[in-house]
Order: sequence, then structure tokens, then C-alpha cells
Amino acid sequence: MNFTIQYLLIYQTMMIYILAFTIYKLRHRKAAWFVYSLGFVVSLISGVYRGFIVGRFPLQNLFEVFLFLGISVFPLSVICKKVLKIDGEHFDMLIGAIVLCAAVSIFSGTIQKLLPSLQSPLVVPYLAISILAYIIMAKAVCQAGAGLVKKSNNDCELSAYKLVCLGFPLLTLGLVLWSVWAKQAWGDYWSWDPKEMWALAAWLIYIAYFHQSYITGVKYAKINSIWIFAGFVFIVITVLWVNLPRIFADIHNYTM
Amino acid sequence: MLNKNIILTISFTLIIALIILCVIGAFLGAEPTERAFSSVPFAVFWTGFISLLLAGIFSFRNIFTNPAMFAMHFGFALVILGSMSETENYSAITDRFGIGKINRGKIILFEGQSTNLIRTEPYGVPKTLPFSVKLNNFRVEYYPKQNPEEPNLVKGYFSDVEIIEGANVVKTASIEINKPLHYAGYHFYQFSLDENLGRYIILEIISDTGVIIVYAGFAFVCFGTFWHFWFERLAKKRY
Repeated sequence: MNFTIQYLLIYQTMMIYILAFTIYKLRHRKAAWFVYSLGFVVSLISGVYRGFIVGRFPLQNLFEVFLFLGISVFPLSVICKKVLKIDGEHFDMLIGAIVLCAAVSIFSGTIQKLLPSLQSPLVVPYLAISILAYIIMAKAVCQAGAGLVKKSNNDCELSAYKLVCLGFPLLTLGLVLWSVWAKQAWGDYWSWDPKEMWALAAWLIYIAYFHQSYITGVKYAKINSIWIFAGFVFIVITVLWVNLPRIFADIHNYTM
Repeated sequence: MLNKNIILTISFTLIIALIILCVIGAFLGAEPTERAFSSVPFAVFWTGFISLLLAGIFSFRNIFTNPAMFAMHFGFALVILGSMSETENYSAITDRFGIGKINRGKIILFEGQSTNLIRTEPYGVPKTLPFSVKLNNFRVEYYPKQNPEEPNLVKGYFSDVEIIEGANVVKTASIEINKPLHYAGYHFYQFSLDENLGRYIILEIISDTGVIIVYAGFAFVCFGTFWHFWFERLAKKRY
């Protein structure tokens, strides 16, 4: 365990998110929202603190990426609830706690200096947008899963559909930004490495999902949900396959 | 008029086929995958894919008349088309008719010297460019160290080059990673360097054929997906 201010703030956010989830499950929804927003404030403080100690926008390695994920769950819940009328904010509380847990346990928070290839204005938007897409797809999976478990599943299936509609353009833009950056930095849009292939496959799965739901509508709602599941499994593989090999390994003879 | 159901079924099958191929590619590794995906059989596959996208656009009224739907499908076709025009196979075809540019190659540059020779795979007789490149200065910048034991961390590589046509300097630029030089239809990338002596650098030179098509495709796809999914599907209703 690490007990710097940074990590203490993250532990605190995790605890608050789990507390909010528990209160929600005890059916005190308003209180849960209040605690949840408190968790958001703490996570925001920890993000700002991170930016302050590294002296740049804190979105350049996987630790910071997961921290950003932990911050972005709350605004996402608000948008889903108010604009799209999708329930299930308790899933977001759990997702937030899980990604922060990943941030502190799997990735290293040590401050790194950036390789030349990473010093591009496209890196931050690319990471932020992809991550946002991933978290929306995670939420879609929760809805799809709830739909598979429950008997009358059309509401959940519709929520899942809306979430995929929300996340898919972001996923697309993420791939495009990556591709444009890769062209700038290395001369090729696409280097066909396993991580890219998984990302492309995940994107194509959502395309297959849209075509399927265009062909059959909600007649086979469970098959639709299975596509959403498969897409998210592919996203998880994309994220964890190799830790961003092109970012952290030298592909063009430059040693770190 | 083509049957819509047939087009839909073939599209759905091809999407699933592509997913499976991507997964196989992920297990094969980058180099074999690149070779496979840009091989001749795949060129047939991609051509089929483009034809299917176009067939879909023209036989479905709601794709043809809806700008967002049109942009998504047409943009995807453009991306594939543009990428195909950057492959070795395509440049082999244009070479045969004598209209092609050099697809890609490497330039070895010594400090203070100029060259117009470009080495292409397979490395035989070098080809020549209609202009020459001169390396005036090469610099490596390091991050300042907090203590002496820390290893040197590179902050940036800078190659100050000149493009010379005839006897005139027509362009000067500093090439960095993330900042390639664009001149006369080619992009010049910082590729490698003589690690021990620092006497020469290698620039990678890549033709810009197809770049505009791919970027236009990207723009179409992004506009189409955001417009369609955020402002049509989310704001209005499901199909």
C-alpha cells in the first residue's frame, strides 16, 4: 500500500463510491446521489492534485487514464439520468470504485518524463475520448446484463441501446485520433499490432450490433445483448493486452 | 435494383468475417498481419467491401437520402480506398505504367552533406529524387537530471534540413518526431540515427498518395457517426 496524499485521496473516493452504492441499494436514492457527488468532488481534487504535481495535464499514462475514468463516472451518470433518462447510476458508482482500484493496484503512479512521440497535442484528446467511450460501453454492459437476468428486459435493452449509441461515435473518434497521431509520429495510420487489431475488432462488433438490431429490431433482444457483451470483452482485451506497446516500447529504434 | 435482403445478409457476414480476421491477426502479430491484409487476395476482399458499401448506399433509400448515414458508409469506403492506394501492390501497378511516385524509402544523411538517393526495399540500387536533402545540423535534447545517477532521457530529436532544387534552397525545416516535413508529395519522418557516433541520421520518406482520401474518409465517418447516433438515434427514436 502506498500512503502519499495522491493515493489517500483515491482510497477515499473509492470508499465514498462504495458507500454511495450501499446507500442506493438500501433505497435512499437522494442520499446516495449526495454521497456520490461528494465522491466526485474528492476524485476531482485528486485529479487536480495529480496535474499540479506532474506540472501538465494529467492524462499521459495508464494510472492517470484510470484516475480520469474514476472522475468521469459522475458527470456521465448525470447526463444519462437527466438527458437520456437512463437509470442505473449505481452501476456507475461500482464502475468508478473498480477503475480506481485498478489505478492504485495495477498501474504505477510514479511520474514519468514523456518520450518524444508522446509529445503530441493529439495524445490527450485521443486518450480522454477513448476512455469515455470505454466507460459508456461498460455501463451499456451492465444494462444488457440486467436485461439478460430479468424476465421483461425491453427497458434494459433500450437503455443499453441508447448507451451504445452514445458511446459508439466516441469510440470511432478515438480510433481516428489514434490513427492521425500514428501517421504524424510514425508515418503509418495503422501498424497492425495486436492491440490495434483488438480495438478494430471491438469497433466492428458494435457495427455488427447495429446491423443486427436494424435487421431484427428487438425481436431477439438477448442476441443484441450478447453483441454488447462481446464488444466490451474485446475492449477489455484491448486495454489489457499489452500496456500500450507503441507508447511505452520503442518501435523506431529510439531507446527510452 | 439489387435485393436489399441479400445486401444486408452479405454485409453482416462480411462484418463478422472481418471481426474473425482481426482476431486471427491479433494472434499472428503485426508483421504477418500487415503482409496478409495488404496481399492480393485481401485486395479482392477490400474491393468487395467497398463495392458492398456502395451497393448499400444506392439500394437503401434511407442511406442515400440521409446525409449522416451516407457519410458513415461512404467515409468508410473512402478510408479503405485511400489505404489501398498506399500499399506496395498499388505502387507496383502504377510503376508499370510509369506514373507512380516512390512509395516509401529511407534516406541516410550525414551532417553537412546532401543527397538525393533513396533506398527502397528490397535494398538494391537506390532510386533518385528530383531534389536533394541536406542535413545542416542534428541535435538531441535531454531532460534535465535531478541527480547524476539518473539515466539520460531524450526529450526530442531535431534534424535541421534543407531541400535543394538545382542550386537553390527551396525549403528549410526542422524535422522532429510528431513533426514531419511535407514537400513535393512526400512526408519526411525522423526514423533513426547512428546511436554511438551521432554522425548520420535516417529519414523515412513516404509518399502522400491517398492521405487526402483517408483523411476525408475519417472526416465523413466522424461527422456521420456523431450526427446519426447523437442527433438522430438518441434524440429521435430507434429504427
